Amino acid sequence: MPEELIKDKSHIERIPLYIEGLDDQMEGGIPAGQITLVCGTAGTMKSSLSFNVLYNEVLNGKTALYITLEQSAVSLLNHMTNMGFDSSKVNILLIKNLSDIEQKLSMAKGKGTLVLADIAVIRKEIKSADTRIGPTGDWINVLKNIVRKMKEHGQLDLFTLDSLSALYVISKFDNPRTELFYYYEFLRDLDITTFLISEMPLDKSRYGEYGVEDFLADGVIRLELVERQRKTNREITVIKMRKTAVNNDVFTLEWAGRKFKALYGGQPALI
Amino acid sequence: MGLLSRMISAVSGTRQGRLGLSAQFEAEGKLIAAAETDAKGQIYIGTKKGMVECISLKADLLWSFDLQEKRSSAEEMFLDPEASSSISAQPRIADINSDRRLELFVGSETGKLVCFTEDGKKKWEFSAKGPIRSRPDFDSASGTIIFGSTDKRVYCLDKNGSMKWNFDAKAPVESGVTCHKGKCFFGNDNGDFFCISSEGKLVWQAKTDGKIIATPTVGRLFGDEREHVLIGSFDRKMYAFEMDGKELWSFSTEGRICSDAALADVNDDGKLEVFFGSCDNMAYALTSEGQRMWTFETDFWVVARPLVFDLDNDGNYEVVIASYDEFVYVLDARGYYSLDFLPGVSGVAQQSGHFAEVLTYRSGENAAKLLWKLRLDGMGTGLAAVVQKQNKYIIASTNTGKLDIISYQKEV
Repeated sequence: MPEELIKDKSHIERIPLYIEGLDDQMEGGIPAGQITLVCGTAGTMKSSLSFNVLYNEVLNGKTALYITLEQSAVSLLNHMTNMGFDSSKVNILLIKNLSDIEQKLSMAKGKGTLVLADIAVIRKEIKSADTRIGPTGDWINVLKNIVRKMKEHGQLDLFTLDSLSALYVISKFDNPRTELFYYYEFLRDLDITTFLISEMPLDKSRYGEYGVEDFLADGVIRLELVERQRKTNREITVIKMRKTAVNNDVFTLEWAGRKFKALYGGQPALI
Repeated sequence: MGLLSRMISAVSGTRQGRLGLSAQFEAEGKLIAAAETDAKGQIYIGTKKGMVECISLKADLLWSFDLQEKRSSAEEMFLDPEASSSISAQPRIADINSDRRLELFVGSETGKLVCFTEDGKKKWEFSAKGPIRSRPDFDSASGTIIFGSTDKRVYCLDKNGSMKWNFDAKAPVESGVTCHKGKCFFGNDNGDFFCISSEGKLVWQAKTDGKIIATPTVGRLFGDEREHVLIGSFDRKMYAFEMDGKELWSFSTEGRICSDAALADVNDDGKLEVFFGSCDNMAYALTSEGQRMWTFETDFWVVARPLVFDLDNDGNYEVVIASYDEFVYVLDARGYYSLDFLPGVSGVAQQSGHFAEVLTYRSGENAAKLLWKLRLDGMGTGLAAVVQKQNKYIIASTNTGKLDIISYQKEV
C-alpha cells in the first residue's frame, strides 16, 4: 500500500517504544508503518527492546511477527520470561516448520497474537530434509513469504527481524544497496511497523554491515554499552525518526520493574 | 486516390491506409518479453504465470503448456511468488535436430530451459542454477542451443538437452546470446561484453560501464565483407564492435538501453542503419558510422527492439516502436529533413500531414516522421512481426497480458 499524504500531524498513528521517559521525547512513539533500525553491539538489549514493543502491542490486541535467525525461539522466550515478561498473557504461536505455516497461521485467527518464526530450527530441518533447496536457498524469499502469508491472513501489524546481520550470513547479497532497497520497499508496501535489528561492529563505525541500512530506514535507534569507571551503563539515542520531532540526546537505558526507562543525566528528561 | 494525391503523398510522406487491431489474445499472465513467430504465422509467448502459449494470427489458442512445477509447501517458501516459474525471456524456435520440424525453447525464472515440439509436447528440459531471463540462441555452426543464466554461466546444450560446455561469465547473464558463424556474443551484469567460440572458449572481451541485458545484433554495417556486433548498455550507450573486439563507435543517449538494435539499409546507400530504443523515452536511428540520423520521442521508456520492415508495401521501410507509454508508433525509417527556414510554402508542403511535428522539432535537423500510432492495452514490452507475402502483422506484447495483433490496412 503506497504511503498516503497526511493533512495534519495528529493523523499520524504512533507506536510507543514503551520506554518511560523516551516516548514523550518523540511525540509518543514511532509512526506506524515505518521501518526502524535498532542497532548496537552485543549485549545492548536490541532484541529485548524490540520484543518489548511487540509484546505490549500484542497485549493491546495487535498481531506481531518476530523472526529469529540465530537464537532459537525457545531460548528467546526463556530469556524474556526471565526478564519478567508474562507469556501466559499473550497468545504465542511458534513456527518451526515451513510446511505447516498455513495451518499454524489459521490458528492465529483473531487479534492479539505473537508469532515467533524460528528460522534457526527451520534451517536445520531444511539441511537434514530431502528437499531440492539446500541450506543455501533464498532465505530473503522465506522471510518475505512468511510476512506475506501473515498479511494475507489479514493479520500483521508489527514485525521484528532478528537480525539483519544474521540474514547476511545465510543469504548472499550481490548488490546490497539495491537488494536492501527492494526489501525495505516490500515491507513499506505492506504497511507494517518494522524493527530491523543490526549488529554494529565493535568500532561503531557504521550502523549496519553495508553502511546503507540507516539511509534506507525511516528511523535509527542506537543502543550502546558505555563503561564509566567500573560501571557499565546502557545508553539509547534516537539518531533519526522520520515524521517525528525527536530529542536526539543520549539517554541512559534501564530495565527495572518490568519496564524500560530512559533517564537523562540519571533523571527523567524534562519535557 | 488520384494521381495528384499520390504524387503529393510520395513527396510529403502523407500517410495512406491505416493501422488497426486485427485480433487480440488475452494471455494467462503478464507479457514482459516479445513473442516468437514462425513462417506459418504461429505466435509463441511465455507469460509471467509460467504459461507457454501458441496462438494463431486470428488470436486462437492452438496449444498451451503450464511450466509451473509441483512443489512442496516448504519449497514454495523459498520462491518469490511473483517470479517463480514465470517466463521473462522471449522464446526461440529452431530446427535443432534437422528433422524439418521446429523445436521451441523457453527459459524460465526457475532456471529451466524447456524444449517443446512445435505442437506443444515437451521433449526435454535442462536445469541451470539460476533464472533464465533472456532468449536462447541456436548456433547453426555446432547445432547447439546456447543461453545465459543469472547463475553467471552461459550454457551450451546439444539436441538432446545434454550440456556440452558452460562458460563462467563471472557475473549474472541477463543478456541474450547471439550466435554467428561459430562465435557467440553476450553481456553480463558487470557490463562485460564477451565473444566466445562455439566450443565455449573466450575469444575476446570488452567493457562497458553498465549492466547489459539487451541481446547483441550482428550485421555488415558498411555493406562490405566486414561484420560488426552491436550492443546497448545501462551506461546509456549503444556500442558497435568489430569482430576482433575493437570498438568501432559508441553513441550516447540519456537513458539506460535495454532494447536490442535492429539493422536495415533504409536509404539504399548500401550501408546498414541502426535503430533502437532507450529509457530516455526516445527511439534512435543512427547511420552505420554511429551518427544520429533522427530521434523520436515517446512519453515513456522504449525497451522493445524496434521492427524495421516495409509494413505498407510502398517500397520504403517503416520503423515500428513500442513504448511503455502504451502506444505503438510507425515511423518513416528515413525520417525527413526539417528546413532551416520555416514555415514557407515549401516547408508546409514538406511537413504536410505532420503539423504537430513541425512545432516539435528544430529546423535544420533530421527528424522522425510519424506515420501512424495506435494505443495498446498496456505498456509495450515486446515486438515481433509476421510477414506473409502482402500481409504483414505487428505482434505487440503488453504488461497487462494482452497480445495485440496489428495489421496495416490499405484504405480503399
